[in-house]
Amino acid sequence: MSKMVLTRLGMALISLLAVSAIIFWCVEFLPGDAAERILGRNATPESLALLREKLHLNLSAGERYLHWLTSLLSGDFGTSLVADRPVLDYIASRIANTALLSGFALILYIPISIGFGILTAIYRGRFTDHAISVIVLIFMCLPEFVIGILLISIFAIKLAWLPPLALIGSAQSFGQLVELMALPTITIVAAMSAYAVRMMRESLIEVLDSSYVLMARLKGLPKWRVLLFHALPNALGPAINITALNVAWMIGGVVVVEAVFEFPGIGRLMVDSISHKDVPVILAISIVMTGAYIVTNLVADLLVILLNPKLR
Amino acid sequence: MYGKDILRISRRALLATTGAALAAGPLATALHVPKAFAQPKTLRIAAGEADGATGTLDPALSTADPDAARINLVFERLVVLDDTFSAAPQLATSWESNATGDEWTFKLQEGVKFHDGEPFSAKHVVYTFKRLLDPKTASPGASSMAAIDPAAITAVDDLTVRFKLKAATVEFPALIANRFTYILREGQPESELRTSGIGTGPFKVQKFVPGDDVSTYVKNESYWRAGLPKVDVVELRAIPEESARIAAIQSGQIDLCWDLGRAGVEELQKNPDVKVVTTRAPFVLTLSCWADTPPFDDVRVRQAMKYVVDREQMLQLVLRGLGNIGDDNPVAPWVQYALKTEPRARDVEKAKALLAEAGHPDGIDVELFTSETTPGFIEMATLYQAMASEAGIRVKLTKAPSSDYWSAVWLKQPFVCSSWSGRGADDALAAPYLSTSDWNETHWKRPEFDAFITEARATTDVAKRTELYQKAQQLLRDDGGAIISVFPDALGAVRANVSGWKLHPQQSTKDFSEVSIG
Amino acid sequence: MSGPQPVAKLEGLCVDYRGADGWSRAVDGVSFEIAPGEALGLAGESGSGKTTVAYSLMGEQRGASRIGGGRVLFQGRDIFSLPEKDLLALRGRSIGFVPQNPMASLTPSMKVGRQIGEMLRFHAVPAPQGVPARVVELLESVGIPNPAAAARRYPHELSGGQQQRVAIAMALACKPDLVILDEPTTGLDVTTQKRILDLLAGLKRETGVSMLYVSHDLASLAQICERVAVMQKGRLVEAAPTRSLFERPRHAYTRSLIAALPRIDVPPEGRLEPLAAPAQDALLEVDDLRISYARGGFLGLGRPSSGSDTVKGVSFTVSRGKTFALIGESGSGKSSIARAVAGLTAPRDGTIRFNGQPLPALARQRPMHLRQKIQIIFQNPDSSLNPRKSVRSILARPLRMFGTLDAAGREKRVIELLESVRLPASYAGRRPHQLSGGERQRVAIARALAAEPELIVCDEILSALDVSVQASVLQLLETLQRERGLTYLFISHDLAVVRWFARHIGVLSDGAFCEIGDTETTLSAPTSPYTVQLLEAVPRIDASPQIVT
Repeated sequence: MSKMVLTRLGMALISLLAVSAIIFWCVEFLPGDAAERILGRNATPESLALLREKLHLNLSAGERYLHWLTSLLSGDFGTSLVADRPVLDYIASRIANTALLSGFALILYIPISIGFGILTAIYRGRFTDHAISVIVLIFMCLPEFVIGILLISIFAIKLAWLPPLALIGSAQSFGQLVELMALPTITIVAAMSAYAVRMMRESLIEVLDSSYVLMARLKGLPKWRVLLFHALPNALGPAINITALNVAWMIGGVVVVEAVFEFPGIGRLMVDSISHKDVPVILAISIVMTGAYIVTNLVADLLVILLNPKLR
Repeated sequence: MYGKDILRISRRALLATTGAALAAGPLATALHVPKAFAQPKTLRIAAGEADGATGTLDPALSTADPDAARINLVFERLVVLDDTFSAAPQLATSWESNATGDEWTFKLQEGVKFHDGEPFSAKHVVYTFKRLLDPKTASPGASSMAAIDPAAITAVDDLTVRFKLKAATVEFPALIANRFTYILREGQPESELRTSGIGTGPFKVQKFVPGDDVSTYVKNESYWRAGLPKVDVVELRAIPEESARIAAIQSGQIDLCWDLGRAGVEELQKNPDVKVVTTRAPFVLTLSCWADTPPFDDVRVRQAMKYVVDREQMLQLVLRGLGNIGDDNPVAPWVQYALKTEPRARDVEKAKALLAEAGHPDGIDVELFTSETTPGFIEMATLYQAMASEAGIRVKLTKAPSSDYWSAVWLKQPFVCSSWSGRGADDALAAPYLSTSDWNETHWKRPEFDAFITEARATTDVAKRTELYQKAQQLLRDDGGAIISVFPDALGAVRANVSGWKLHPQQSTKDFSEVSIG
Repeated sequence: MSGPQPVAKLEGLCVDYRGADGWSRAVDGVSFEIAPGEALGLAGESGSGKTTVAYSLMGEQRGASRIGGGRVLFQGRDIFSLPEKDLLALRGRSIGFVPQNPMASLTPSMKVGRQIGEMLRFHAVPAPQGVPARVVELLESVGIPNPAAAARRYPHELSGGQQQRVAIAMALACKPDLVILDEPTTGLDVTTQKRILDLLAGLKRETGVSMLYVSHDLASLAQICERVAVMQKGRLVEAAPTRSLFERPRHAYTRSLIAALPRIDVPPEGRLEPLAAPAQDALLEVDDLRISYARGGFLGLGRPSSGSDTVKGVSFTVSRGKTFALIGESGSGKSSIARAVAGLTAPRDGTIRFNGQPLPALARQRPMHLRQKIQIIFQNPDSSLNPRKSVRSILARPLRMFGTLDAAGREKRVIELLESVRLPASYAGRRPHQLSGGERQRVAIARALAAEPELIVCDEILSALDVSVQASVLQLLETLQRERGLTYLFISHDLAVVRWFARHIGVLSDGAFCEIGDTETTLSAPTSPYTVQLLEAVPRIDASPQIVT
């Protein structure tokens, strides 16, 4: 198994390199450059030329990429063209925010998807199943920003239970932080767990119909024990794979949710950086996102192997 | 088969937890301490434009709206504009020019201190303007103040500054009341200017990091205007999503915001906790075409395009009545030097006739570029398309992405939507329409027009000057390539317990010094 | 019978299933008793209702079913009117269950020792030496080598026989009064089957536990059970002590069942004596065939070593018009050889010659006419017939591929093919799921015939079929061979079936032949100890069960 982990890590490094090159070249094709973005409407040809020189944008694309790569190897992610700050410094707090949001979402998401998955599988064909399935289907179809705006108008405006925007810069206590992040967390969880619930339902139904679950019941074991120790571990596999995809989606920064709730996360930072063509930041974020995606998938695969002894 | 027994307990537990959750909500609200009573008195304001990593506190490079907001908190200018766009004193108490209008002397306010205790004096003004005009600073504002001779700005004494101009400029004080001329403290290192400038304004920078979501400013205890400011802390953030901004002010997460759209305002008007603030503003929404490009190169075509507009309908449908009607003249009727005309009424027949005269009996086909980048663009373009079609002007609408509209579409396409922030008459006429302007969006070059402006700038007699500007406006209205039908009001909102804020029609001027909470 | 109260008693049990057209009766008025210490065999073919009876003894209702009448009593208590709690207490503790497919019935994610241990824990069975030690003891008692290590294994790490032993240990862990066994030896090798049967007999002797042994294999029932009951279509048609049932069956169905049994020691009725052997004309020659599934070298790119071969150099010849049987247990490599001949697997080494010409390894490399001449029938008709196609299109496909008929000609041929496998023409429009298992296998045979082959490879084609159906399919194959001169390469693990069917036989063990030759001589006078072992393991009806008097 350690061989597998090592091979995967090796391939991860290659992927990261490839991703950085591809993204660099894609961004190159976007019109304009950072200097134009910074100066905006007030740009004059002279001010543009001056700024371009300051930002080293007058070098060729290949030179810039190599320069970036070499400084990366010494641990320097470069300086943001636009914010004039070291990139790592600049994106660190955003990454932390997104990680926090993802963490909260995961904490909520796991019991919900497993719980509802179990409910719909056990009561399959009955009212509970239909009710939950319909709700889940609705959430699957609604785009995240619609869910987000709905939640804001109900919980933040009509009922005033929670603040509408996740302006976490002004949180003074952990309790306040949780309050501010409640709605975006719920939005993300609502969007993600729909798929997991359905996946859980399908695989649990299949497992509940299996011979070994029958055997466990015929052994005289109480049903909760059969569900927990015999059925669930074998049904979780596909749900874990879906969760890996969901987590990767979250870590990539859910731009839409961040925009609706003004959450200072990495998604919007990425979009802003792209519209500014702030190449060092774009590359740094891409590396982080790719890395997170790879790690998540690796963890999920390991979990699946752990749960299914046949794969070891 | 499965359900009954396995979850008999769980169902009870589920009900119990749901009940607890439902109860917790109101309980939390009851226990929730409203922000307004938190000490110290904090005013939370929100800009409507994204304030990303490009944010800056350096007035010479200020281009975005959040930049303007923060600069207004920290710095002050010699002269500001009032809502008719005439010059009013701030750091300068009085001014006078010589007889030819090419030398101006300003007397400065006494007893003003910078945030670090340094007394305000003329040398800081000299430093600020020299830096602003220095090509190495690359300030976008330098070109509009090209009249100033940088070598000839002198500090006559501690409280007097003299400017020698290359050309006579009678409205010099108004000219320097723009977003770039906030006074900096001489001696502060250049590297600090972006994030921690020292000014004379009502608030000091506590923390500003470009790219961070919130910046904070604290009360300047030794502010020269007694009794001000009335709040202790200002938190500035940018919430570009309008729905988010509206939600935030409705729930009390912010206290003050501006740059609202019409739809949001309607919702807020119904909310008793929120006050909507409106100001008439000479903000210009225009449809500009290139007067040197067919089919627009024939003045009859341009006039026909102006005759198809139903201005009242534009006002109602695009702005929901929150604005004023324009008459193809960028100078709003209440602004100093404005030409007051009867707005051109819609006349489809006349438009058709003009087109036929110009050799287009079957009408013309034009492509109009619009974008979401400025509120109102899309509505105005769509409405124009409908209005123009009746006269045979077939408009094809092209929606361009907002991210690079101003660099890729404006000034590069022959017929575009454009907007100009509220400004005084001279600026409104010169910046977009002078044949020498970098931003001549209509490619309209009329030596007579240029002459009017130049002469007006050199005329010290107010009545004569007014007449000259009015002649320029008349020429522009009849001959120019800009279709200006409405002036949108500026819209903002505050919480009901916030008072003392006036929304200034000049977008880059924001005055928070008199705002109080509660 | 008077005396101690019966452990279990069925009184007129009726069970209905809900199908597409309403309720149908699957078990109709079945009554029997099991005395303490007695093993009752419940025999019948698929669909007879015997499995339903077994489950109802545990109080389990499968799928959409209901009790239509009658009672099931366990130690005098009515099982179906017990509250859930009491039923759970009964299961495992007083009634044990040994399932049909141990691989599928043991929870894959839980170690074997833990699965046994949880029974002890949950039924609060006293284990003075501690539960883990008791588990090891139990595993030892069912003959698992290295019981302590085995307890820490997962089910998939054990062989089929070991898994079944674990299941038996699990069933007996709480020392129940009755053990129900549902086809416990189906799918196991014949030698493993013998060992399990011996084990069960021994356990019964030692513990005096009662058994209900459900199986379609009359022969294995005969090894253990004192009495046998026969079920047909939901009814109990006959019940009698084992010997008298086999020697003097009274009901016609019982008689037909016994007659259909392939007997290793008695030739089947109506079998024609083989004609005098004509000249041996070799149709298929296999020379030093080696097949490997291992991936050698770095990252799978390289040659595997010979140590990992599944088939280690087999050579044999199949004569035209005759049957060559490949006998072996699971893992012996017989299926691999079949697949190699059919062109589905590429051998690592060796040659195959057909009609004297060398045969390219893979089917897609072979010219059409050769592909046509060699056809294969698979073990499981459920997975080898396309469930979405009608019988007609299944049969028409090889006709289109290999023949030159037009649509009308094909239709005619399809009918002919169906007739040749004794299926009515009306079946042409049906889909596979509308046919029974035996009928599906016949369609598979018809499909193989459609190409008009010379050689048919039969890969365990009878294992998934009921006994009586096996007999009829065998007869069909024999007839076809006689009429058309077909040659068969017949793969099987069942010696009894093969004895009267194949002219030549090769006994495979661990990838190599341990014996090869003429069937008669090989089986009447085996030279290899493995063959001897195989022969002895075949259950015989007249072997007397070890009865406790």
